[in-house]
Amino acid sequence: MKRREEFDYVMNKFPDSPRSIVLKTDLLRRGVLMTDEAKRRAADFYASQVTRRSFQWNQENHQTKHETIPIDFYFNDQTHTQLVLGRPENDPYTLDYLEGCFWITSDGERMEEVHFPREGKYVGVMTSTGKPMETVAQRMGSDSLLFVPVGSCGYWRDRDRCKFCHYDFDTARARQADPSYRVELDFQGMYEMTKEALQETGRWRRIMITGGSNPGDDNYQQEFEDNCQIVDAIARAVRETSPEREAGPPIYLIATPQDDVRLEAYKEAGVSAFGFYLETWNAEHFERVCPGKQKYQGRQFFLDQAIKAVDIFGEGNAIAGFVAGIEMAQPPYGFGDMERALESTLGGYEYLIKNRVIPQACLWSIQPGTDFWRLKEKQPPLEFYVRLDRGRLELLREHWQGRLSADAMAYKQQTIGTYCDWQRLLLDDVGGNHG
Amino acid sequence: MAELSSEIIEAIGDRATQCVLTTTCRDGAPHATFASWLGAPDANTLAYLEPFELSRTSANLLHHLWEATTVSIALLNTRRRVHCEIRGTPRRIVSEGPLWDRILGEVWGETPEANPAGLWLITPEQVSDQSHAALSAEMGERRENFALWWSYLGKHEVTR
Repeated sequence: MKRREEFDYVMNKFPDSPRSIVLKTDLLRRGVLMTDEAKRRAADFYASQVTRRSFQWNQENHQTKHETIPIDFYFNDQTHTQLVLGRPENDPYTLDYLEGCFWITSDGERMEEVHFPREGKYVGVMTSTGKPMETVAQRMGSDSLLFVPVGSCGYWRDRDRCKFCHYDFDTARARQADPSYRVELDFQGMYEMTKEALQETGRWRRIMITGGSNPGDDNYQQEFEDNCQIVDAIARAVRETSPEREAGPPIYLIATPQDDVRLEAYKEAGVSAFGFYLETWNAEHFERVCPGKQKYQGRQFFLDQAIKAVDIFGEGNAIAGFVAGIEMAQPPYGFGDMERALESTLGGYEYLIKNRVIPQACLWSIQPGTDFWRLKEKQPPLEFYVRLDRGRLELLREHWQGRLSADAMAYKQQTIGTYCDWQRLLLDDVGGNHG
Repeated sequence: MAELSSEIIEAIGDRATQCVLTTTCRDGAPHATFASWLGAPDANTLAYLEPFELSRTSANLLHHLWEATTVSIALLNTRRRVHCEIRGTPRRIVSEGPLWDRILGEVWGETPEANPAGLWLITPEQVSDQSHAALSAEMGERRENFALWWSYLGKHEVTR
C-alpha cells in the first residue's frame, strides 16, 4: 500500500491508537527524506560534528562521508523518533521546514510538527585521554546518555552474526567516512565524560550502556570484566557528582546474559536494570536468525537468566529485547505470515510478562550490511506493528494492571522502538485519582 | 484562540493566586488539581508544570493533546479581583530550553527532590470572567427581568 493509504487504513482500523505513535512506527519502517531547506536548517541542531555510529539510521547504502543530519527528533507530545534516512522504494515521508517550523509531511500534508533535542553541554569538551566527549557517549533522545564503547560483536568473526545485524558494518562505514574514527574502551574517558555531562543539572535522567557480545574462548569473561569496569567508571562519576541525592541517573545495561554470580556482580557494580536481546521468540527462528547466540548459550539459557534477573534487579528491571518484525521474514527465518507471527510473538510476550520480565523491542530496519538486506527482505506492514504493540499493552494491563513496566527506558529516550510510547497509555490504568 | 489580558498574566505570575486545572478522565469523569506552578510566557500561552509522570492529570492531559480537546483552568485572586476560567487546548510538552531551565530552577528552590515530567503548553481558547459582578451583568443580558426577580435587593449584615 502507498504511504498515506496504509496509514489511514491502520488508523481507521484502530481509531483509538495515538496518531503520533502510529506515525512514529511508520517513520521507522519507511524512513524520511529531508528537503534541502530542512537539511540546511537542521544542521544547526547537529551540534556534535563528529562521526558517530549510524545504527539503524541509514537505509541507504551510500554513506561515504560524514553527514550533518540529526539522529533523532520528537513531536509535540514528546514522542521521540530516530531519523531513519529512507530508501525511495520504501515510500518514505518528508521532513520539511515550513513557515518557521519543521514538519513531517506526506505528499505536502503536514502530519506532525517536529523538534530536535538539544545536544549536551559536554559537546566540544575533551577528555584527559584526548577525545571529544561526544565520542565517548552520545545523547539518546532528550534525557538519556548512551554509551556504546565496543565497536564490534564477536558473533561477526565466525559469521555467527544475527541476520538483521549491521553492527560491525556500521563501524567499518564510520571508519570509511572518517579514518580517525575509533571505538575503544576508555574507562577514564567515560568517568570524565559522565562527570562533565552531569554538570548540566537535571538533564540526564537515565544512562544506558550497550554494545556487541564477546564470547571469546572464556565464556564471555572479558565482556563481563569490561562491563564491570564501564559500569564502575560511570557509577563512580554519578556518585561523586550527585552526593546530595540518594541516587543520580540509574544505569541500564544491555549485554549478554550471564550466570547468577555475574548478574549479581553487575548489580553490585551499580547496574539498576539489566536487559538482553532474545531478538525473536520462536525457537527454530532463534536458532537460524541468531546462530551465535544459539551456539554459545542457547535460547533456554536466555529465558532462564531473564527470570533470574528479575530476582536480582527487581520487578520491571529485567528486560528482554526483541527486534520486532523479523518474525515476519520469509521462512525459514520467520513466518512470512502476519497472523502466525503475531500469535508466536505475543505468546512469547505473555510468557515473559507473566514471569515479570518486560519484553520491549526495536523495530526491524532492514539495513545495508545485514544478511536480511542481501536476502531482499521487505518491511512488514504497519498493521503488524500496531497489532503487536496493542497486544503487548493489553497483556501488561491484563497481568499487572499497568503496575509493572520497563521504566529503565522512557518515551523521551527510546527512538528506535515504540514500547515506551505505548507504555504511556498505561497511565490510564495507574494514574489513580491523585495529582 | 483567546488572548490573555495583562491583568490575568500578572495574576498568574502572583503566587497568591489559586489555580485549579481540570481535565477529563477516559470515563468522562472530571479531575481537578491545584496547579502549583502555572505560567503565562506570552498572551497566547499558558504553561503548566506537571510534577509527576504517573499522575492522573498527566494521563488526562496526554489524551487532551492527542484528541485536541480542551481543559479548564480556574484562577482566583481576591486582592487583584481576578476570578476567571480559561479553557484551553494542550498543544505541546516541553522539557528543555530556557523556559524549562528557569522553571526548574524555581521548582528546585522550593522542592529540591522534584523531578518534573514536563511543561505543558496550553493555548487559551476562551477566557471568561467569573467575578460576581461580571456574572450578574451577563445573566441580566441573558434573561429578561433577571435583576427584578433573581437579585437580592435587601441589605443584610454579614455574620461570620
